[in-house]
Amino acid sequence: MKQLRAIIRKEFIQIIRDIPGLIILFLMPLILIFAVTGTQDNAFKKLYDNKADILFVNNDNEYLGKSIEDGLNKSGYFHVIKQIGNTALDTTMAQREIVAGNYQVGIVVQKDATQRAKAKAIRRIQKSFANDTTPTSADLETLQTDNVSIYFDPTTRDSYKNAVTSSLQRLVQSVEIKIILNTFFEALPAQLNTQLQPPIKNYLLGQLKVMEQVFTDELKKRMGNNLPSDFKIDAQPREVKFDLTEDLRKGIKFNDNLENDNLILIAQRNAQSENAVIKPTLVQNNVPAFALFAMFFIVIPLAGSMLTERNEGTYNRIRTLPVTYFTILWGKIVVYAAICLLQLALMILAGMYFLPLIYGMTPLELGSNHLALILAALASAFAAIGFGLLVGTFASTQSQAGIFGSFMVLILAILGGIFLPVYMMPKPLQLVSIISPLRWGIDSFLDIFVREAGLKVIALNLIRLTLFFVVAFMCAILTFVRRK
Amino acid sequence: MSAIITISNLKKSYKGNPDEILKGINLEIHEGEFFGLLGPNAAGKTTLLSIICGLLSFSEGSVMVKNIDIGKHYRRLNPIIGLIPQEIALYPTLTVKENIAFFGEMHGLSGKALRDAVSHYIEVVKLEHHANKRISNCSGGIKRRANLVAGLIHNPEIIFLDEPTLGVDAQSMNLIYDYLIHLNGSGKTIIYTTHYMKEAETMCNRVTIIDDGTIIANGTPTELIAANDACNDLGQVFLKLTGRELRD
Repeated sequence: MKQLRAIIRKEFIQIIRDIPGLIILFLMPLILIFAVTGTQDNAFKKLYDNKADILFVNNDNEYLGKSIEDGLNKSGYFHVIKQIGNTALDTTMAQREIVAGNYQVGIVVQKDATQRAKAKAIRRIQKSFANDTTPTSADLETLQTDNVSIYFDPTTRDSYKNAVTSSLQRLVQSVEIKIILNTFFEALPAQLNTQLQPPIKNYLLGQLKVMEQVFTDELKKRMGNNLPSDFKIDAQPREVKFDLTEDLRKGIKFNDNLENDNLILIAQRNAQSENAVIKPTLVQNNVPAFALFAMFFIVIPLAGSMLTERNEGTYNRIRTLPVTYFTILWGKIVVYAAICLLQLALMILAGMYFLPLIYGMTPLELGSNHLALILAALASAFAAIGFGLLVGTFASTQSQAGIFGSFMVLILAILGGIFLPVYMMPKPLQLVSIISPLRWGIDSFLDIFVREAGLKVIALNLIRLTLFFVVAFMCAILTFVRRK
Repeated sequence: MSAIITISNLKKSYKGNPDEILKGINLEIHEGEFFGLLGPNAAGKTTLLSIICGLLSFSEGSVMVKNIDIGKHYRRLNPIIGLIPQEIALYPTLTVKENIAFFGEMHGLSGKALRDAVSHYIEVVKLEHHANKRISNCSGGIKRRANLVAGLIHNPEIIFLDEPTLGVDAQSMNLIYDYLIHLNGSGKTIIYTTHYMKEAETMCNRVTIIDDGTIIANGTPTELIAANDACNDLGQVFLKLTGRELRD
């Protein structure tokens, strides 16, 4: 025990005096979580919260152009720019500004876009009434010309492009519906006289007869004897006045606010257990991921310490000491486990206080399963140490351990889903990711932090992490014995 | 004097290399001897030393140290031997004092006994003014002296020194010589390897010259000089026996 204490003290002194090592262990993960979480948050905000600058050129100056401009302004996502300095934007200037990288997106509504849209609407209505729809070549030109163009800076990310395009598409769709409706009502009187009136009339008369029968039967059933035996609804239909066009025109007024008045509302909700109180946020997801990432970087100082001993003579001296390698390794394990737990605590503090303070994010919540959290922390710490022991045992030089160790941590982290969720990976990578100890750890923490899972749910990953450590530890001991 | 180390027909070869590094060594080292193990580079000195200390296994033969069969129970040897390796086998970020204390603790020393031992050895090698310096900030001489006492703090019976004066200045070298002679005088058995023939001639009671895994000479320095015509010192004997060809 005295020897173990001495080894622990020695390892601790070595660690705290190794400033670059401490920077790697504590500062680097903090910087990383601040940088990545901040960037991700900003990217989401840029898409959904912050108003993005958008160049807007309206060459149409009719209904379509005006509606798109109004829609962009009302959407709250975009800051519509129509002039730079005192110069009104035209298509060339807008393109030039985007190519120069000054702006990322520009929308140009083409000349006569409204007229072309109307022409398209008319053709669609004609088609639905089975009129002759063979377009002339002039019609074709009208139908195939773009109405609206979106210009993107080539460096713009696809996700951002898609978000802008889908916002615009939604806007254009609502304008399109209005144009079709307007055009439809304009076209309706003529069509009613020729084709619509007789079929509608016959249909409604038929419906009235059915309703009379149904109504009479229902009355008889309910009133029984109280209903006079000679009761009869006058089945003779009255004249039905079909001034549908006028009615529609009166009843359906063109409403500019219609686009926000969705018939079907879609609400975004998180699938959670009934008792769950934690909301999944960027912080809830990123803190465990980067904590694990940091913990596995213990490989650099741990493997470095083992290799320094092996290559600089202390290893041989240690082997002549009346102390087992088991004790020597445990001295290291205790200290490095404490460091891993400290790293995790620091990352948790960052999630609870620093990230909310700096970025105004929702603070990290630890959930209610503290025992599961402690066990997951310990198992992850030991797995990280196991990885360090393996690299320290099999690498020959410090640089080999440093380069191999860091690359492996990065690869295991990617496979573990630290940068991109596992479900977004190609199938073969998803399968490979199952062997990443980082994934076992991250999954355990996500289960606790986001899904509020208990010990039962994370048990399998805890066993995997612990077994990984045990195997690595045994490898280190056996290799020590065999090296004699 | 009785034999404290007995080596019989010792052979050693490494995996994947059919050449034997040691080709049937037979040797006895007596209790209280200052024994010099000499030889050119790659002769097998360090391999032989490592086998006796239990750091390396061997292919054939037997090694008995204080009646302990090293092939079977090498760990029993640990409390009674002190190894001072060629390299500075200390922790660079620990101070001189912390290093010496750590190895003392590994040998079971603690409390006052540890503090006294650390102070004593620091004083012996005159490191009082450097005791709190980190090893990484010390000069070669200080490192060598600290390296020496780190292997002696538990007061071992048998001391193995692998070129302990490599790269040190004359003052540090002299201090190390004096202290080793003092230790030997107090009954410690010292097994010493060096490339400095003058050093071996002055300090060792007996030397063995080993070359290509075989013992080629064994005796006191005086005996070896006398046995080789036209040789006035151990250096000349060494060159006569091992040749002037460069060894890599």
